[in-house]
Amino acid sequence: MEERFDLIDRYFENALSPKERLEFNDLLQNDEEFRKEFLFHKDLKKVITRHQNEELKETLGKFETNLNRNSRFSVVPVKWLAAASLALLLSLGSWMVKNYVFPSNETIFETYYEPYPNTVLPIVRGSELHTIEYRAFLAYEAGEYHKAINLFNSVENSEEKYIEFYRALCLISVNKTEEAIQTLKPLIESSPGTLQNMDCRQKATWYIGLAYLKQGKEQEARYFMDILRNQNEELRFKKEEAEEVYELLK
Amino acid sequence: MSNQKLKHIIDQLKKGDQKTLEKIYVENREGFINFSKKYNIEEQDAVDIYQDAIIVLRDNAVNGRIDALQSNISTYLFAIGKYKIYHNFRIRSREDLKEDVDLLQENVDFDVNLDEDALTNEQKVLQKCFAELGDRCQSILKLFYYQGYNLDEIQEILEYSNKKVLKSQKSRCLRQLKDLVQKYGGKI
Repeated sequence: MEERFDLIDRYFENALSPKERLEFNDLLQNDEEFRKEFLFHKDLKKVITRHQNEELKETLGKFETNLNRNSRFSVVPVKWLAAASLALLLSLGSWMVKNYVFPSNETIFETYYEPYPNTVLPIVRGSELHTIEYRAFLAYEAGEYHKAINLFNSVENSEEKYIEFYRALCLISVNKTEEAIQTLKPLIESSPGTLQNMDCRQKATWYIGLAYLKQGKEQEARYFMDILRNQNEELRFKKEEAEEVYELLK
Repeated sequence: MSNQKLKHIIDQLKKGDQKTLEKIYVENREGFINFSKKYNIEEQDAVDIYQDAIIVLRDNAVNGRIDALQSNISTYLFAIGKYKIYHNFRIRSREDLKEDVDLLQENVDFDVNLDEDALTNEQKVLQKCFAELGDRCQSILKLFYYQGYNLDEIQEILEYSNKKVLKSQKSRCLRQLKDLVQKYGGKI
């Protein structure tokens, strides 16, 4: 009997040999006691999964509480951190200080720029589907921006906003900032109104600002950061970062 | 995100590392809530959906379903969240979202129990009894049935002198569980 039930363990270990699998199936059909035992283990697996998920839900509730608590104080610590870093830099000599107090546009750009994550197409290895769009995003995530630009250019729906958006980010990454700006600008001029359009406009605004920064056009960069830092409460895409860049460019 | 880094994150999720989970939770939360606003979903509902998506993410990591994932975790998490929005709110008129979901189904092995089926009464009894087991028994059973470790691995993790001792301990735990179920009148 013991040996028979060992098969159940081996089933859950995913370790049944083909021969054992046959035996297992046979027992399942013809041996009532075995079947009942197996169902008990199966129920147990389901119940433990549920138990784990409920536990996790509680944990997530705690993360949520922590977040709310922290956000109330977050304004001060950032300033303190800035002050602390400034103090540290002071001790490192005036050249460094000069760089900190008057950081170059390039430095600011490097600090704040990161390609927007691919939130459009999840990439999974072994996927059957290899559309051009899929390969474009694959290249984008791999940081192969030249390749991605070519692919984004050849997708069927190349005039869609999100394609334009990601193509522009590739352009920034390969230093074609002017073309990037020209690609992004229509996105912020698109019809206002729906929240979704506003979201797209804000993202485009942020990256136009950064692209100008990379070109060294501080005036223009500040203009776009100003739009972002003054955005309404509803949407706050990069609001704080925009405020910081705006201040740095003063 | 480099593949190595991604693999590390997935491994940490499998192990149930709290810090990794919290980092993922915090980093993607605001983005997801903002995204949900497009569909006029109240913040509280969005947080609920987001948390469920995190749970699915962890589940899929534990079950080895995303071992071959190539996109970054955020992308995958968003995909789950979008799928849930679509299903919870039945936003069929929103073509854009529907397209996302179609893409998702084509691209991701979405073999996941998103609409959790309810537990039967017997299973509820079993769950209650499981919670009453001692820590040792709970750990063994969790490692085996939930995290999918085999007995050799568990022997190492829980530092048993040999597999036989572990096996009889596991049997005792199951017996204890069955006794508890009987006490509560469940039919197992």
